Amino acid sequence: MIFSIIFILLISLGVGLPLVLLLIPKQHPVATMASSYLIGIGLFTFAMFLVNLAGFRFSLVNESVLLFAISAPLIFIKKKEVKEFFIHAFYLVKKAHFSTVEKWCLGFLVFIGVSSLINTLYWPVSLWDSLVLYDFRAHIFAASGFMKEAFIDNYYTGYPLLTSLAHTIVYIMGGEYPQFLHSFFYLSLGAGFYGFLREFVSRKTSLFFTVILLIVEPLFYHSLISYTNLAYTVYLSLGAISVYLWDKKKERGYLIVSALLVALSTWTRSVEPFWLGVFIVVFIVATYRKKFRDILTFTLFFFPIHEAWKVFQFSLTEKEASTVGEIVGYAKIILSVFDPGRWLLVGEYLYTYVVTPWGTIFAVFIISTILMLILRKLRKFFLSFFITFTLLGVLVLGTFAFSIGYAGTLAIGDAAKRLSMLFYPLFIFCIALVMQELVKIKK
Amino acid sequence: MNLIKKYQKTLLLPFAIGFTFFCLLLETLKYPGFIGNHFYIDAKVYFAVAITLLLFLDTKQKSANFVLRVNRILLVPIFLVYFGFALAEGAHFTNYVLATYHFHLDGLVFVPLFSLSIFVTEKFKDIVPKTIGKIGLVYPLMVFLLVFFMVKNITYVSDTAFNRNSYILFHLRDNYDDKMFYQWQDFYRFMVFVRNNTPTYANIVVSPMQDPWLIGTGNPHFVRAFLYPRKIIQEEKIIPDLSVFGPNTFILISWGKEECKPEGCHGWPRQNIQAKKITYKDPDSEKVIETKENAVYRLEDDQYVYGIIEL
Repeated sequence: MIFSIIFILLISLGVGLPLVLLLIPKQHPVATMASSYLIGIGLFTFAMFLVNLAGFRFSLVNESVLLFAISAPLIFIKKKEVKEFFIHAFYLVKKAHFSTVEKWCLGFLVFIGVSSLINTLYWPVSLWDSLVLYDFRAHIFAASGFMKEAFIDNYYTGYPLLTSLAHTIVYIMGGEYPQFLHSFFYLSLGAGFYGFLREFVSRKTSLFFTVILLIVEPLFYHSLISYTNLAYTVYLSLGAISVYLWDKKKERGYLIVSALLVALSTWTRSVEPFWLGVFIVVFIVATYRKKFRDILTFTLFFFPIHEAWKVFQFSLTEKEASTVGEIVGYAKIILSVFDPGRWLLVGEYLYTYVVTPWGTIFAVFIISTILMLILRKLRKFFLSFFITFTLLGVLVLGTFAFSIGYAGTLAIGDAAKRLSMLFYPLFIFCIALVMQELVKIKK
Repeated sequence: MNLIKKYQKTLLLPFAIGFTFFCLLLETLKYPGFIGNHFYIDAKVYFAVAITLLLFLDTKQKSANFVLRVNRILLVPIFLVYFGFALAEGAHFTNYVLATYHFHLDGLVFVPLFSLSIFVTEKFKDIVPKTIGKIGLVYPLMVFLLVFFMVKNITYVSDTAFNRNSYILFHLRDNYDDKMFYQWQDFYRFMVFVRNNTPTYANIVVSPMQDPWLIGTGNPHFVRAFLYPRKIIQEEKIIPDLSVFGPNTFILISWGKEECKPEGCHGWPRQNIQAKKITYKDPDSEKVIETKENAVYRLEDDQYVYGIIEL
């Protein structure tokens, strides 16, 4: 088990870290660590997939060689920066003086983080969807060395492979309990959120709102199991927040990180169209700022990963699954929106299974939105709200579209609940920005 | 905030804290949600109201100060009591505390958390502004909603973490099979039994995807997850032609877990089958309890829940 954990950490440090330092050298170290894991494990599993398609089996030797082949040049290029990063991180920890409030927040974060890890390192994969699909594919990949044997029918090709291939690494390394990867996703969500928020608010505020984020019931619960929803939430929400950082910090590196994170969200779950929401925001912002090249940059980093799975899935199922087809499909549905009865059903469904579980955080988000619109000083946060509302729009339209395409959609509430998890980081990010500014107004 | 000033000198804060403790203790004895079900407002709302009041009201007055001091004294003992019961639950079985002491552990967690929240809020108090001129009452409303959101979630997270951790603490020596048995009970043992009694190249014939076998042998993907690399073949309620199966084919005998209609619908296969060997699983383990060679399988003779028929 210990070898699999070490290998995962090596992927983060060997692939993710130099890549993140290459893209955003001056990012907050905590956010850099989070992005390193997310981008490292995401891109490494994608590389595993491509190399396997080229005929190389999944094995200890092959994955080790692959890791060396990717990380050696990256570390060689960013050797100095990697070293400086660790010195800087060490210095930060050594010199840190925390107030009582910060110590309480940190203490609680450590408690829930460690609890999540203890549980995932103890329990084997046992919940239905994971046991039967995501993790089962990993077992076959590790046992047979190839993907073909797993895909005996369409049931096994419905979801992309990020989590399955991450589990494969654990099994290849002799591990039995791969769920710790999901605790790492959870910790990365907390660390990434903290680091991104820290760019705009005080350490105290950032820590406090990170606590609020990590105690969210479904997020904590999903850190204990191995469904794809948490990983999807982490990739998509942090990818969306990176768009905000790209605009505010004027650094293209954040845009590339955003493109990679959103692309990797589609490498985790491909059915949901939220990537389109982020793409629309990037398109609008880039056009508004007259930075047309940035649209191309996002496209270049997003589409290869997104398309690869679509093409592969098409080759297995022979069902039309191109991105153009996907967008045309959505457009067709938008044309058939003049059905008030269906809208009522969709509204009721979203209220019951999405808005109600969100609870009062959604009410605070709505109040924050109103304040942002009324108070001039808060309008600088408009983009973060715009991103969130665009994704909410995708949620509403997506539910509407699915209710037309799949008759049973409105009968399944649990899937919507799991899907709507991705809004918690966005709501809390917007609320934190507003609250901090309100306190400043007071001062 | 004239309203706050007006109530500053009343017993509002001590009353709110005392009343919330009372509600939480009552829910521990009855069940979580009892207050909400009978008095319309959930105890978590009182919890959040008390914490919000503590954030906004002055605590230097005598009565409030007294309540906070009592809370500080009781905080550690309350936590120790909760830990004690959480460990007892982990050491025995789920709902052990309810069955033995007749109160709800998932309700009890609110009491130490409320006590801790009061203690921590005292420390947070000074950094939270009391008023924000331009937005009036909207600000305390936002704070209250945030506190309520935290109360709702933190109780779940703490309860889950404490209970799961204490279970793990008392089951450190459990192996993979023990843990899977904990999750899937006897069905997991049946899968181990099949694995132990069939070759890896076997064809495994399973029951149809309908009640009472849906969460079990009726789902070929589910069975495949346990029995890979064996080939899984799903059949109908009455297998139309048994002669199509070659050697190394095994039919899974399964009583079925869910309810079904009409009466007598449990048990599969539902036809007589000439078997090379019938092997039945011991109800209390994954071991073999009985075997019959060159026998005819008949549903009406079936005495066990699980078994395999070798054709």
